[in-house]
Amino acid sequence: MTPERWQKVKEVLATVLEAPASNRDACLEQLCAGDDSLRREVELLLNQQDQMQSQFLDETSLAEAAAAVLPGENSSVGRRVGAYKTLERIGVGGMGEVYRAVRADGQFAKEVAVKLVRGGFDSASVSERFRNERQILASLDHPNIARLLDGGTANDGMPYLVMELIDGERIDIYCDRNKLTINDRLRLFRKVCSAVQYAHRRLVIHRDIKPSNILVTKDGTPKLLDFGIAKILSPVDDAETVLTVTQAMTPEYASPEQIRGDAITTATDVYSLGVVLYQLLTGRSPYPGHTHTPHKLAQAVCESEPIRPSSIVVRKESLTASNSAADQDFAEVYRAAFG
Amino acid sequence: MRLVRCDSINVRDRVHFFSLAAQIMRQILIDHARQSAAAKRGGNAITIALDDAPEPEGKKTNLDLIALDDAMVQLAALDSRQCKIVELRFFGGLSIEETAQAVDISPATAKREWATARLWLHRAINSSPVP
Repeated sequence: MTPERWQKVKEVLATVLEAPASNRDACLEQLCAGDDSLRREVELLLNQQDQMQSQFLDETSLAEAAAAVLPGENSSVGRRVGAYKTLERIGVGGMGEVYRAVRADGQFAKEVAVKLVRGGFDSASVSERFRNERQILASLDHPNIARLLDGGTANDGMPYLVMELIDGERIDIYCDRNKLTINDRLRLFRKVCSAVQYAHRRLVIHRDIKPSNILVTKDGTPKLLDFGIAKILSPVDDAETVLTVTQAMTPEYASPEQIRGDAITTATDVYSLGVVLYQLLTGRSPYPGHTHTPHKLAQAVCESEPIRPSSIVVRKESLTASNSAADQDFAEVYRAAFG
Repeated sequence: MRLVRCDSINVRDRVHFFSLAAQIMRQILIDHARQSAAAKRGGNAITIALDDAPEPEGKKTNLDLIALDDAMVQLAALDSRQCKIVELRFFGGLSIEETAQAVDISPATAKREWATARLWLHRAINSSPVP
């Protein structure tokens, strides 16, 4: 169709649309005046009215279409994920969103945390890796480790994990809000270490230890979340490249070997524990001033010596382990923490 | 990122602003729609557990934004002002009166343009063969 032709079609169409329904045929007949192809063209468009839903191109259809394509605020609330139904979004992270959820079939009223893994991850290989790991992860039974309960692929292909729901707050916030003394902080931290040691004995590495993965419940029990999850979500074991490893870690707590893309060992966790302890004791990052640009931070982690916590806080003897954990030589680190 | 560039544009009045907003909204939504379409097409087959069977029919009425955008490009070739009207009404959420003001036509004309554009777009979206 040419623009000129469309002007003509449009004019007839608009006039017919404004005519009373009983008059339309006569109106069409008159306006087309023997031009059959014009008439067919207009009729074809008029017929769209019958097939067209009244909300075609109205505000609600924009809202719906937008909700379908944008990441969205609460887009997955009320959604069925495997055997579970999501109730409320309780967290958002780089890898996805976490929802409070219950069994959809009502068999158990107990609430769980469902983690939906968003974009960028190859769902087929995530679910395969999950199948390989789930036995090991599900067997982690420790009072300070949040249990992994289930997992799979939702109906749109999105991988999900189901975990014990922990009602608690981040360890660093918990410590500060309750104004814990250094001794109390260390006592709390020892429990975290015992959880990590327990998992290490079963050859499971956390890979992403950080304050937001350590929640403290109301009764003061620390719980480590997401054990082994980073491995499930990071592409290809062992042969990992620097780039892919970077996606499944948090630079501020990542060890030099993680940043470099070297082999991941239990010392990786010990290093991250060291950074967490450093922060719990001093209230600051071992690499201050670099935390806002990932690249600079990565460079600082790999190349610079952190400031000794003892020069920040007075209680010197309690800090020895923290500083050596945040040292770059991890063989030494492991001996200092668990040896 | 798109909004950053707006600093340099002299937003003279409300109408200009909404016209600009409609354009940006269209661009953002279409970008997202294309991304999510690409993600769905991408690579590996997806395993579907038996209890995750697709939703029953009846809710499959969501507007295909990519098809709409393609149709709007076709409409723009026939009548660029009419396409602009659709952009303002649909992506910008302007009323008939506001749209009329934005493109400097009478509300009656805006209404006619909108009504005929809807029919034309509906046909274009539903008759185009799926590639």
